[in-house]
Order: sequence, then structure tokens, then C-alpha cells
Amino acid sequence: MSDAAIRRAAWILLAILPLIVGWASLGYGPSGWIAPDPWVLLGIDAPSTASEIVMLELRLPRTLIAMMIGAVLGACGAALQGLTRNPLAEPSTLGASSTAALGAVTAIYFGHAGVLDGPAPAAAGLAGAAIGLALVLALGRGGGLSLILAGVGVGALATAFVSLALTFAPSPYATLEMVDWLIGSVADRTLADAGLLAPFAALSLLLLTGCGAGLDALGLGERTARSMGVRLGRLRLQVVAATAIGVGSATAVAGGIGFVGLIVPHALRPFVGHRPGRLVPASMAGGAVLLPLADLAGRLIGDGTEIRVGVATALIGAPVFLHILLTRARAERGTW
Amino acid sequence: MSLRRATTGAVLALLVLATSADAAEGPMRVVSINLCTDQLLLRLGNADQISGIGPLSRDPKLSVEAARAATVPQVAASAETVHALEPDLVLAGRFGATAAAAALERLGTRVERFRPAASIDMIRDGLLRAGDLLGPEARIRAEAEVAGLEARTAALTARAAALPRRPRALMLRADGSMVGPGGLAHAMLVMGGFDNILEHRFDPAGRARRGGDWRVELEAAIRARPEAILIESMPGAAPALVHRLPRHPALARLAALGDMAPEMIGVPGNLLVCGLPDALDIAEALLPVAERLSARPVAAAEGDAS
Repeated sequence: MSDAAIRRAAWILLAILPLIVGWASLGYGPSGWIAPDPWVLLGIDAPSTASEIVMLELRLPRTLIAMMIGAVLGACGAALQGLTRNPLAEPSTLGASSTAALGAVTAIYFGHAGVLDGPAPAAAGLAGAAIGLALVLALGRGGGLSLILAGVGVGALATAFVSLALTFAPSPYATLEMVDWLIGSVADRTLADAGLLAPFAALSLLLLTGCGAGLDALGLGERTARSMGVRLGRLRLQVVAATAIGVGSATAVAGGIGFVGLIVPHALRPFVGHRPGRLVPASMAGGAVLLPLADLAGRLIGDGTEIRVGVATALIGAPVFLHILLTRARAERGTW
Repeated sequence: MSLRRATTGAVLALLVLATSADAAEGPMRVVSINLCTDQLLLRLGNADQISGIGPLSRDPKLSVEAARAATVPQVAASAETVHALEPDLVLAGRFGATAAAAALERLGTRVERFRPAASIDMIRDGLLRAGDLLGPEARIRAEAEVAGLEARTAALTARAAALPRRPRALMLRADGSMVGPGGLAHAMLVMGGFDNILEHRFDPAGRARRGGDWRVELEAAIRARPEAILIESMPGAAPALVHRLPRHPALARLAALGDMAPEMIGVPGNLLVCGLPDALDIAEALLPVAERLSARPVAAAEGDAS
């Protein structure tokens, strides 16, 4: 089979796989199989059994949220890697997940009258992610690993503040929830959460797909990109804004899920001919497969006590991170 | 005031303290550093006996003695602050503030530890033990409490035994965990005529992980088709993600299912925190519901939520 045919097959697979995984995520869970009923899922029929309620109110939101967040994180990872020309860049390695979590945590546990629902945590998460990313991009201008190191530093600081905030939060349960915020979980979310996330995720994905041509040109070097008419400042702002919107709202709904933006572009890069512009939509689809799949695995393996989705992504993601780090070091210095 | 007069005053004060303690009045300076022993002390002790109690018993979300707690001095559960009060008896919990309790013992203070009550027998033992420790008046009060407790228990047990069958119930704590076998809330569920679905339908090995209560997947709990869902309320609790679970829209959907809908019952959380006879209020409120539900036909569980 020719390269072109493989690529075409990969694109078709990327379009179909999210639907298959989404269907499986609706049907399977710790309480066994429920045949997804499209009429109930679309809201045409009201659920008439406990199983249908479980499918509509418990499995549908977590599936939708996992797919949206997966798409956002995958696309953000691809765009940030294209922008910084660094394969280790993604929302969690750049500290954005942690700073977004800090924003959301502050809003939820210390907000007036305690805002658990509504757009306030998402807005605070967005602000946190925007400030964090701006800080990391400003600090990490030295090129190479300095960007990632800046991300690690800012992320560690934000993580410390999240822990501190939860320690001093008035609720005795807040310290227990540290894990949810720092690792991420989509368990027991509601359709309202999915509805809240949807416009933010859509806006973020729209902005990111609009970056494709600019990122492709940037792949040839800054000077070439400029000569091709790419306005770098605007491109940078667009990627950062899209990441802040997407990661900020995603973190407010599900905590800081890491490594999706690292694993997915890394796995898909060979299939899109290493073109960052194509990698963004491919990673969007890839993320929408990976995250629901990781969540499903966590639900089924955990045997009643579910494994948080962030644990599953970190288990796959951290080795990938180290692998990229080692191959880069080898390529740069000729030897490790 | 001269040094001499101060010394005389102090000696006199000590003499007064010593004589009154000798007169079988029980300990004169009692400090409690645990929410549950706070409430035992407030209920059984004399007001002038109480030198300090922990801060939590003033919170009506957690305590049934919040009003009385506001009238006595508050003390932090640290060995240093408690020791400064020179207590002749410290009441502590078996768990929590264990380091403070151990340090106080090393400093020579008498510390009595109480286990969290998980049954009527443990409530009774706790009341009688606290009564013995606090002096003859407290002992009389404790015996009166125990007599009431036993009369109410006997009445409840007789009514529950007369049920044709026990309806299945699920109880959600305010923190999103579910009441499993082994705790006071489970005991009240059973005394109230219900069968706890967590006792039968879920892996009993999960019990060891989280004591009496643990977090079961909500979908598994819903598909086990409980006939009643008890939701512990803690109005005004500080915001935390855990409080979202008892308010999950899936539960509201269940309540709208018509004849198959489980009965939704709110349970005041402060009654279930500590082993006091007040916990029986829950069982007494549940029994009429169990009596009504047990007359309905049994609904089969869905899925394989075993």
C-alpha cells in the first residue's frame, strides 16, 4: 500500500474511531452493558428505566466531556508543539493545566456563596490558564528545553498553591479533592457540565483549526514564515487564547488531565507527514478517542473503585514524555 | 496584692478544689477534644465541670448539642492548650487528635478515649462509661438516657420484625459516599426496617477499604434499584465537589419515574455523626416509610450490579 493510501486510511479511521469509542463508553460501565437508545440520548423519549437514566445522566455526560476535553487537549498539544517547535510542549508540561486548576479551585472553594455550578469556575480556570501560559512563554524564551523547564517551574508553583488553597479551604473534604484537581477525573459529571464546556471547547477548536496554515509555515522557520506573510504575533496570540479557553474550561470541569496533548500528536505525527497544520485536526480526533478510551479502561479495571482518567493518561504519557526527551537528547548531542 | 496574700489565696483555692473533688463529685475540670465526647460531656456533665470542648460541637451541621456548646469555653485539640487548662480528665476520640491525647498522657493527664459508636450497644456503653467518669450526677443522667434508648430500641425492633419484607435502601452521605455495613448510619437503616443494598449487592471486600462508608459507582447503585434513597443533608456546608453527588440530576430523574420511582428521603446529618440516642430519630422516621414500601411488589434489579 502506498503512503498516500495509508494516510487516507488513517484519516478515515480517525473520523470513525471517536464514534465507536463514544458508543462503547455509553454502553459499558461498572454496572454492565446498557444498549444505547438513540431516542433517549437525543432527548426525544424520556428515560423510563433506571438503566436508561444511568445511560442518559451518568454515561452520556462523562462520554461527551471526555471526548470534548480529549479533542481540546490533543489539538492544543499539536498547536503548542507547532508554535514552539518543541515536541514536549503541551498544556500540562507548559503548566497551563495547573494554573487553570488554581483558578478554578480558588473560585469554587472561596467563591462568594460557593459557586459549584455555573460558568464562574470555568472563567476562573480560563484566566488561570491564560496567565500561566503567558508567564511560561515569556520565561521560556531561551529555546530548547528552557520552555519546558519554565512550564515545570510555573506548574509546580501552581500545584503548590492548589494544595495550599485546598488545605485552607473551609470544607473538610477539600483536601481529599486535591487528587481530583491535580490528576483529573470525569466521574459523575452532569449534562449541565457538558453543556457548560461545549461552547468553550467549540471556540477553542475553531481557533486552533484556523492556525493550521500559519503553523505549517512556521514549521519552515520564523524567517520563512514571515516572508510568507504569517503574522507571528497574531498566530501566537491565537494559539495561546485557544489553549487558555479550552484548557481553562476543561480543567474547571474535570481537573488537570495531563499528557493527552503529548501522546496524541506524538503518535499521529508520522501519519500526517509531520505537518503541524494537519496534525491539529488529526490530534483533535485522536484525543477524542484516547480520553474516553482511557476513562472506559479506568472504569472497567477499577472494579467499583474507579481509576481516575488522569491516572490512566499519566501512566501512558509519562513514559512517552521520557521517550521523546531521550530521542531529542540523542539527536541534539549525537549521544545520550 | 502582696505575694503573701496571693499565695494564701492560691493555697485556699487548691484546698477548695481538693475537698470538692474528694466529696465524690467527679472530676472538676474536664476537657473534651473530640466532637463526640464533647456532646457526651455537654449532655451528661455539669456546666461548671466543663473547662473546654473542641470547636466542632458548636456547628449545628455536625452536632446535636450546638446550643449548649456555645455556652462553654472552646479549646483547640492541641496538647499545649489543653494542658494549660490543668484538666483532671480529658475525653478524646480513639481516632483523631491521637498525638495530642498521647502527649497529654505523657504529661501526666488522665485521658479517656472513646470509640465511634456503630450500634445501639456501643451508644449505651459510651453513655454509661461517660457517666461513670463524670461523677454520680452524670451517672444518673446517663442511666436515664439509656432507659429511653432501650425503650425506643425495643419498640423499633418489634415494629421492624413485623414487616412482611424489608425494602431495599441506598443511603448517600453528604460527602457523596454511600453508607455501607458497619457504621451507625447502617444500624439506623436496618432498625428503620430497611435492607441496605450495599450489604448484599456489592463486593463486601470494598468495606475494608473505607470503613463503614465507601464510594460506589453511582450507576451501579442506581441499577440495583433501591426502593428508597436516603440523602444526608448538611445545609450550609462549605462548597466541595463531593456535595455535588447527592444533587446529581440522575437522582431527580429517578424520582420522576412514576410508580417505579424510589422514595427520596432527606436525613439530617447531625443526627448520625456521633453515638447519641438522637440517632434513633432517623430509624423512627424511616419505619413508617418502610412499612408503606413493604406493601408494594418487589422491583427487580437491573444490570449486573453485583
